[in-house]
Amino acid sequence: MSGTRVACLIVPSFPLAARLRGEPETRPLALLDGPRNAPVVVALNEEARRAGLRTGLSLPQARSLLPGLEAKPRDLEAERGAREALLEAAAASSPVVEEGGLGLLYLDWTGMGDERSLMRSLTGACLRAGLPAQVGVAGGRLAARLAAPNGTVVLPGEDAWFLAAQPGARLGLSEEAATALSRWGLYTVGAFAALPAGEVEARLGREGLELHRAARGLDDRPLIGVRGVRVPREGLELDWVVADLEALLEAASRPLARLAARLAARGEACRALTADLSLDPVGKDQRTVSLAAPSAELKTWLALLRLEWSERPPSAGVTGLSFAAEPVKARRTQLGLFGPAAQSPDALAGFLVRLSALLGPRRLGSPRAVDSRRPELFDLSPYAPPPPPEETTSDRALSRGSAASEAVGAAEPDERLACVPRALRPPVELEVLVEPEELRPLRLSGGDIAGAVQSAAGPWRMEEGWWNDVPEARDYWDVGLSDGGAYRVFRDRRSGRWYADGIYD
Amino acid sequence: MYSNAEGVPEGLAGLVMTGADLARRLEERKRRPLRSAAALERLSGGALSRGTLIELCGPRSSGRFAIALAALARATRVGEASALIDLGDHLDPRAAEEAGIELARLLWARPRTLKEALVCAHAAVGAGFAFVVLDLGERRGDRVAAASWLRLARAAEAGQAVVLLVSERPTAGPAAASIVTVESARAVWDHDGPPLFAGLSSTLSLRKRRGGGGGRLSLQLPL
Repeated sequence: MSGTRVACLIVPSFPLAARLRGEPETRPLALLDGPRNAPVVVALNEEARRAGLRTGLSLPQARSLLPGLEAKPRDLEAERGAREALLEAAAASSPVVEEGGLGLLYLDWTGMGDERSLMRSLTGACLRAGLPAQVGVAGGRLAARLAAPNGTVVLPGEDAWFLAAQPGARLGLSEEAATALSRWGLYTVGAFAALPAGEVEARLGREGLELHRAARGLDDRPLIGVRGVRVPREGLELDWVVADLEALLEAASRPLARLAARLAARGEACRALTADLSLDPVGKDQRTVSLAAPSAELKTWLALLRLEWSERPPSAGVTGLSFAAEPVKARRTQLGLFGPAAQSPDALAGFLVRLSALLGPRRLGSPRAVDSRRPELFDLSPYAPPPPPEETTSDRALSRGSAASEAVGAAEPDERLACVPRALRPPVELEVLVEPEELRPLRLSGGDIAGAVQSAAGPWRMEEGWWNDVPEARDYWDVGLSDGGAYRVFRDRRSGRWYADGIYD
Repeated sequence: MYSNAEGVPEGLAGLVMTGADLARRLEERKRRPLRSAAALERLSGGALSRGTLIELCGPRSSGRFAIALAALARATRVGEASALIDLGDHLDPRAAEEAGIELARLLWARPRTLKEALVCAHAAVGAGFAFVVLDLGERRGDRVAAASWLRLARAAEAGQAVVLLVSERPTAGPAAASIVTVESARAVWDHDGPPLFAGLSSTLSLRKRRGGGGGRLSLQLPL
């Protein structure tokens, strides 16, 4: 591809890097994979390498060389999250990102300007995601991949020259092809590139021919971009079974922290969090927690999960966790300079989510009247106030310090003060002594309401719901008691029982 | 503002202001008193200054709930971010709407304990609510440390919010900048013909005000 620039992003020992994201391990550590009864070492940390271990050993072999070796299985959940995080970091610096393998990405950097500076920002973004990455830039994939470990930028048109000096073992050939090359006495990429193409194809087949072209610095296959990550997911597999809520939240905090950081980097917040738990010995527990307002705050998510899991604990011990955050663009609002101050959308969203987690469902929002005369009924809608009205002349008059008191009266002369009943929710059941003919209450007691009726007005009949299964028929009275209180009480016409459903206050 | 600014088209002249004007108006907004409880304003002889905790105490059927709702109605109508922390779960949305509250502008929190109510009030002030009514309802016996009220008062001061604490008896102690109590209250009955409940009649008294002062006010609260 003439003029094309390709960056290669590699995370060495990707399964290990994914497992260790954000939690460094200073003891020698080996990552195992393969059959359950005979796993082999697939990745080692620096401490284990220094002790002389190498990949491909069985666990008993590795432990015979290093008795204190820590061994862990591959964590596929963590790898999935790490892959997504890597893709997001790459997508932030290139419009086309091709996946070349585990922890290996190719980015189209054609016409992107200062490549050194881009490399620094890309490795920085990967490090922030907890993944130590290497980046190389060249005109084609192979040269970029071989340039990555040393952070090299191969100048345009110099791919063939750069590749020529590279050891042949770094070509990434199949075992069979690598054996053939060493048998022919070819130890550098340049020596391989010098072979006639037809001869290479005849002996190594189609794969060999493609590699031969790449080794000559020819790479004309366009990058095939992968789809971006819409719903970010993070998780981990636990080495032990967790049954305790606190331990579960502690384990959840690590993947959730990574998820929150990823959302923040994308400029997004979460509107619903889905938690998938793997249960011991088998089974899944999935639940989705909706947020009262979009939030990317770890504390808030943990509070909501605590509420959810304490109300409905998982049915068995947990062996793995995975979280997906339904993303939504963070709200942006232009706040006004004048008039009543509007609230910052982010602060408000955080506040709503925290309080919803504290109070539980249906305990926070904007009140809404329902189509009923029963005062105990209500509805709640999410709190989303309209913007404050424009500043008026009277507002401005009010703001002039010395004239404040006069302006108060002038601005709002007709404040409507009216007696409003406090709703008693649920209504308080009463024992009532009644006058037998009119059923007029004479004495009430129930809850903390008790006294002789001094004045009573009523009854007012209220009937509703006669058209459905829950009809209501009430005879309402306003009563003044000897304790000084004024109450709204009613007699349920179906049961004959008395209730207080309001205190005039 | 420039009225005859050179180079500014005629129609736009009223919309242009100098940097000094802008700074002055922003400063005015900060100092602007909160327009809420007119009854309390009349009692204290001026608008409620921001950054204070005010206590309104009175027994059952003393009109304190009506005064709090009227304050919320006024605050929501002028667009102030307002919250009602309703410990006793006493708000009837239909009655609140009839009292003039713009329900879409009101945040209603229904905590179960006094501790939760305090957390809500504290968080509301921190989130930028300019007017927070904390109604302790008919709850008796719940106690929190006096320091909690001081913390709430300090948060109100920092957030330049007004917190109106509605309770049966004085609760916040030294944290309250003003304490208004209902000295006397009675139910009013109309006995022309069959008896009818007509409303409440209350006398408010300003018992404490930071900076001195006091006063009384009689209110009629018709049904």
